Amino acid sequence: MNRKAQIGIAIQDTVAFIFVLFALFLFFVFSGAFLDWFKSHAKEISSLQELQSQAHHSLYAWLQKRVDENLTVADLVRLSVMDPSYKDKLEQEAKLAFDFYDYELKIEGLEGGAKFYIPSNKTLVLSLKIKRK
Amino acid sequence: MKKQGGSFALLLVLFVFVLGGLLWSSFRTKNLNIKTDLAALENLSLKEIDRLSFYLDQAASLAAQQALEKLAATGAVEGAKCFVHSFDGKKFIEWNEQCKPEQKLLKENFLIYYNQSLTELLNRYPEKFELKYDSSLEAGVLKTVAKTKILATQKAIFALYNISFDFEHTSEVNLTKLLSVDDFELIYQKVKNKKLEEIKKLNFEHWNFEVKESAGLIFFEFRTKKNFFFEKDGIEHYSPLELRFCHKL
Repeated sequence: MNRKAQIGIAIQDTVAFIFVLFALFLFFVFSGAFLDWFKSHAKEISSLQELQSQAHHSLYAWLQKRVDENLTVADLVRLSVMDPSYKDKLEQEAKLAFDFYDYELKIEGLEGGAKFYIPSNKTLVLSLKIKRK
Repeated sequence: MKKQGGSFALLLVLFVFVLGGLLWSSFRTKNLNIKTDLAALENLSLKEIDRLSFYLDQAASLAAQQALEKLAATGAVEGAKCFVHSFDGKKFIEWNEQCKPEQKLLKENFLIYYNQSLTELLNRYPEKFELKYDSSLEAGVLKTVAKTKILATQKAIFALYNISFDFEHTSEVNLTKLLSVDDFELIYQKVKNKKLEEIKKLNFEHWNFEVKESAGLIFFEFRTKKNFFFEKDGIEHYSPLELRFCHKL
């Protein structure tokens, strides 16, 4: 083999080597970035799930709370639909229970909130969404 | 030639190394996704159980109140053998020895009305589920044991899951706190063969009453002291139950 051919092969090997090193570099950069993204995304999801779980358990306990000898909060929700004069009382109870958070409480559903169904002549969907203050 | 072989082998090793890394990363990500999904599904199951258990307890309480309302509205008797009188524009069933509230019949009717009302309320639950239940009334406590299967579809990170799971839930309603089924028979025993003056002095734990006399009959209008939730003609009410009957002097 002449000298020129040897130089040609050496250049070819070097280029291939650099290419592979570059591919490896890209792989480590992208996989690292992906894992970082996944971790932060998972953290976001878990924080959201934690808040949803808190909302679920808080709402479950609150609905069963007695507001007087005869009525629970669930009854008060039902009554507030039958007779709007009970709405103030319901809002007061909600404020007492959830004022620790930024909260949104709605009858007839709320996207992404914890929800419970309350039997009535038309089933009510009570939803609670909370955020940390 | 030897040098070319060496370079090729080096490239091959590096290629295998890159491929292995990619496979490992993909496997690890999928595993993490599946783990996250399983945790979310477990969480979902527990929440669905809470939701349905809560609904069952509420429905049991409402159905019990509805059944008591039906008993009161029918005068707590079997209508076929009873006379009905009109007074003040209202209907009064005449209670006598042939037509009187009887504990056994009241309990049977109460459970029939309760089961009808509970089934209606359960049919209004917005999610998919299967349920079988048994109800019994012992010592003033209404017990409903429900065997339930929840069917749910959940889209998570890794896949769309169809899940189903079983659980058993027992709802208890203490009727003595509301109104005992035995109250109707107790009222009959207290008012029968009594004069108007004696009747006016009577007291009942769960009821207020008014009494009027006309044409040889005493007309009774009983109202519960507490309000009850019940549906009438598709409209929901929260008001006292009314029991009207009359009795010969």
